[in-house]
Amino acid sequence: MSAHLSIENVCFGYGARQVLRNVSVELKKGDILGLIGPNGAGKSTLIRIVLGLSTPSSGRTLLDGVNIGTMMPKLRARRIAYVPQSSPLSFPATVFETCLLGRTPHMGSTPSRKDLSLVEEMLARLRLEDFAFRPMSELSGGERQRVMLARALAQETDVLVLDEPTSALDIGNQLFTLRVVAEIARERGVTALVAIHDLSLAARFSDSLLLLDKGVVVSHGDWKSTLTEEVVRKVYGVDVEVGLLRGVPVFSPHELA
Amino acid sequence: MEVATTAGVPNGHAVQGTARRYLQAGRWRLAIVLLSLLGLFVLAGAVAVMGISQTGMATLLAVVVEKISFGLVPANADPQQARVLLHLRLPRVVMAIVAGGSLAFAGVLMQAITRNPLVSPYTIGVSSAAAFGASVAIMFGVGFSAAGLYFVPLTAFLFALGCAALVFSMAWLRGMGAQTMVLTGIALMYLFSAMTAAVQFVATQEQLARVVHWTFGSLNGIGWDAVVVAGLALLVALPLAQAKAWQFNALTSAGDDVSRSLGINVAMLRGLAVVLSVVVSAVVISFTGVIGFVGLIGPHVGRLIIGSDHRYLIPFASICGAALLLLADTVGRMVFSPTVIPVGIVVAFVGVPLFLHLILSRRSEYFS
Repeated sequence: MSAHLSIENVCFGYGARQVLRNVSVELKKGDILGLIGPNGAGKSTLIRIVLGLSTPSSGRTLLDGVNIGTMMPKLRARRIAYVPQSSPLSFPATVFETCLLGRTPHMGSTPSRKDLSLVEEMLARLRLEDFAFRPMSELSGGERQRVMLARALAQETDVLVLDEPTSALDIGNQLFTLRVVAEIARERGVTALVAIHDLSLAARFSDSLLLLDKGVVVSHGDWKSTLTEEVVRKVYGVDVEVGLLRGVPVFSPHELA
Repeated sequence: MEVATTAGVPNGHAVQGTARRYLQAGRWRLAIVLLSLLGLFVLAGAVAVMGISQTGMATLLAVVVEKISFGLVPANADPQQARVLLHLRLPRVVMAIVAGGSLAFAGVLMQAITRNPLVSPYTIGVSSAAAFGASVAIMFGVGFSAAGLYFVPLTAFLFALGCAALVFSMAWLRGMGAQTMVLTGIALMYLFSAMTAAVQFVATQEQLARVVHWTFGSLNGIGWDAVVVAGLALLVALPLAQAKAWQFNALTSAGDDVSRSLGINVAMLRGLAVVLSVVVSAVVISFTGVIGFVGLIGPHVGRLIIGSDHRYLIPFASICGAALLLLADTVGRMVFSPTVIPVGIVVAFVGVPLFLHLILSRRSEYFS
């Protein structure tokens, strides 16, 4: 099967500082790619480039063979959705209103009944219907994260880009959020790019991993080949023990290397 | 990869109700907008006839109908009364509505694009620039210019636009970010205030009095010419902003990056909002002088009552601003009658208690 989303030789720099160097990766439809690496490795920059928010200094990103950078913004928004790490809380908006914004690229100046029922469905799926008319500011971090995921799912795209979706969540919400992403990927063939710090969760929920360090791809593939103890020591400077607990990969950090 | 199910979560259209509730809330909000618009008209009629002996709303209606039917429907009113109504009272009342509406409208847009509840035409420097322009005109120009009567408002307007252009280009250089806009605006506000103070420092007694009076902001001596110009500006700007209401929703509650990922051209939206809000508020301020507060408080009163959805907030906040300024001007006209207190002073006395009441009585999450 040909690539659904491909990143080809992408380079990016702020002035003289190179943030990404020749990053290439291909994702098939329905794949979940876990994007891992230490702070400052270039994960967020790569995410911005895939979203079309930043333009690479060289290289390109393609969705079904079409350059993402040259897509019309509205058409791009119908194909790629974004779940940010956090959301501003400037003026009061309810959960329903926030989630409905996901329909923006599909609607004119006002939402249709279809838009509304889709939002209703997503709120139910993410167990948010009881909060539907609460202001966002009254929600916990985990609930807010679920609203942002619901908004992205309501956008009905075939690519989902998530930037550290679980970093501020308790373990229950971490598991719930990533399970929903995995289900959606399987059910609808949605391709997902997930930047994530937790190596155990990354290994558990991704079809493949891309390990970045200082803007360069260190390794790419399934978790066993990508995250060897040696690679982790080299990239993160930490001695880890890797094991399987009831079939689930677990990375246990021991000591600074 | 693990794929387990999130147990207990229903798929499909199992739940009805939240969508219906959202629609109902929308209908309520629309009803509030329409009713408040009606209320504004009634209020305008009531205050227009206040203080004119033996004149009621019926007389007002008859006089207006006579005028717009070009005399086909005679009003049979006292010609003196009709003159007072048509040439003194009505332009003042309509200008209060247009000015209050314009300033609140500009405030909504400015707060939306900066995601900052403290921003208004005043904080972004537009008012101070207009005041400086007016001071310069009063000091050096009056009586010499071909523009004659309009010299002061015209100069004020040009300075306000110049200030906005500076804010805009600074923001443009820095990628149209919200913070740059706010900080540049505040810096320019101080600069223009200082320059106005400098002008006042060298002014004669008579010039100083006029400059200071201008900065109070007043509807005294407003004629139909000002009403038409400011009214047209608002009538053009309102539908243009209303068409982008949904995008303002995204920008305020989702931020720049998510808005762009939703397909919105954020830089263009900011540009449009700056142009609309600056032109509309600058036109008003040029004619009336500095009226602060309405542009800041109108949007908040609107939001506290009707919520943050800009499809309803833009018209409703404008109506709130209009009503607030109309009430303030009426109070200023009546309390020490026949002395008229400038509306720019009264509006804070009327608005602050109302605003504090809303803060204390309304939803707590608003100011969290």
